Amino acid sequence: MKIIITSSRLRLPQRDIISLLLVSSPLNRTLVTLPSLWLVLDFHEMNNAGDRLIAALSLPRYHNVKQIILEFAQGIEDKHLSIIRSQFSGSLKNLEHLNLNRCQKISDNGIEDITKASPSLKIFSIYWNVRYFNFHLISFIFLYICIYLVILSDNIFFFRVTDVGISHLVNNCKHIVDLYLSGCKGISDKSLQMISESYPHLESLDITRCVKITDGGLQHVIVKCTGLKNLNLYALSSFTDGVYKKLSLLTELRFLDLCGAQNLSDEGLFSIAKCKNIRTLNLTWCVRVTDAGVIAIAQGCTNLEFLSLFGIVGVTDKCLEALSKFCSNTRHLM
Amino acid sequence: MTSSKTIVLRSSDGATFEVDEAVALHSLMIKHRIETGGADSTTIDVPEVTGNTLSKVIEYCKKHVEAPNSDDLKSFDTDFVKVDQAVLCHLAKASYYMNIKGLLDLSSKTIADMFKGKTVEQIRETFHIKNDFTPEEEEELRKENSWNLFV
Repeated sequence: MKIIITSSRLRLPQRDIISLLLVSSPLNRTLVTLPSLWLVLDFHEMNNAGDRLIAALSLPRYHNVKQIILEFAQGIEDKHLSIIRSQFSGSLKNLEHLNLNRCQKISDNGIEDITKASPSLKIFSIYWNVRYFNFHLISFIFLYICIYLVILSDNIFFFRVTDVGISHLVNNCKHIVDLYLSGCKGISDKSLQMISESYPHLESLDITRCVKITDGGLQHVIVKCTGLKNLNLYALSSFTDGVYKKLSLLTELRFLDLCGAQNLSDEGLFSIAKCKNIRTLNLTWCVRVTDAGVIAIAQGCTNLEFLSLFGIVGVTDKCLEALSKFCSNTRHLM
Repeated sequence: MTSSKTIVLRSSDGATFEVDEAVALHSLMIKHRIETGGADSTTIDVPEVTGNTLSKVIEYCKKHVEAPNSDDLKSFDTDFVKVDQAVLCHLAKASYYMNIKGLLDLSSKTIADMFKGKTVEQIRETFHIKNDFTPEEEEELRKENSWNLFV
């Protein structure tokens, strides 16, 4: 049995591996001592995730856990992370990958606690940590001035994850290589500056919809994190060619998502064309782009595999010709 | 001109099988034995494996050595593991000792798939494993691990 389990590298779901523990005591003894089986804790979409996580971490076999998945889990809050930090810090010393996607109740405080306990963290993902209402203020205003709600919206919403949370991350976790902050609208240029100063070897960054970020913030990252391979700037429309032109510094870039980059012009693309390793480029709704820019990409990014030009009226069959001429691997969509 | 050299493999119960050297070399254990064995490496003992299992292992090696790129290799593999659970376990063990990665992965994965979605009782039944926990021990274990179940 042991042979089977170690060799198949048991890609069994968590539930099945644990069922095996209950089958017999020799099997239990064998499994508990196989470290490779107990490196992942997966609570995606589970309720009471906070309590479950604490229960699991109290078991010795999880004291070297490397990956914790809480994506779309419910019932995980700052208070759980605080308990984990105070009681189970030892268990998280090898944690490398933490997925808090869609854990809407986690705030800067929770991030402080969990990052403090996880110094070895390399991959941190907290996308879609949306804002929440301040209900009292809303109901007051709503009584009188409905329109003003829209205008004042930035002031009456609070962000759970802000630059403060990012400061905890950079202070506590020195080894981050992949950082996914999609939808964390509370973070600003300050965060990007901290990230660029702390993680010169960053490989992946996703700041989809982090609308507070400006050219200045992004520039910090481009200049300092020159090994960046994956950069996701989806739905960020305020950047200008000023920073897009700097993208040529990212020679290792393989994935670049510029969907919605309405200020991106051919000038910017001429620079991006210098990133020879780009495999995936999303230019959906980059409405100022024309054939000239795309042809430059075709000539420069010869390893291109996926290209989207959806929503761009300024491109014609001319650039398709260039693409088929220079990029043999491309499967593109218009 | 090149004579196809043959090797004889002897199982734990004394059964012998003559195979082409190329087929035998598919087992890295045998390859190692031949390379370090010296002159008298025409008969190789495989005491960890019985005759029945060894003949199946050889069948696998033959197919994979002689027709590695054939289209029906996948269906061969699929049919090859359509055997009862005991035979599968023997195959896994044998491929582990004989260091035949492809067969080890194939048989292990098939067995692992047999665990999927099964309750503890079902696993015991399928693999004829005796429950040697006391009721108290079993209850304790279930409680300890209840966090992992969708309720």
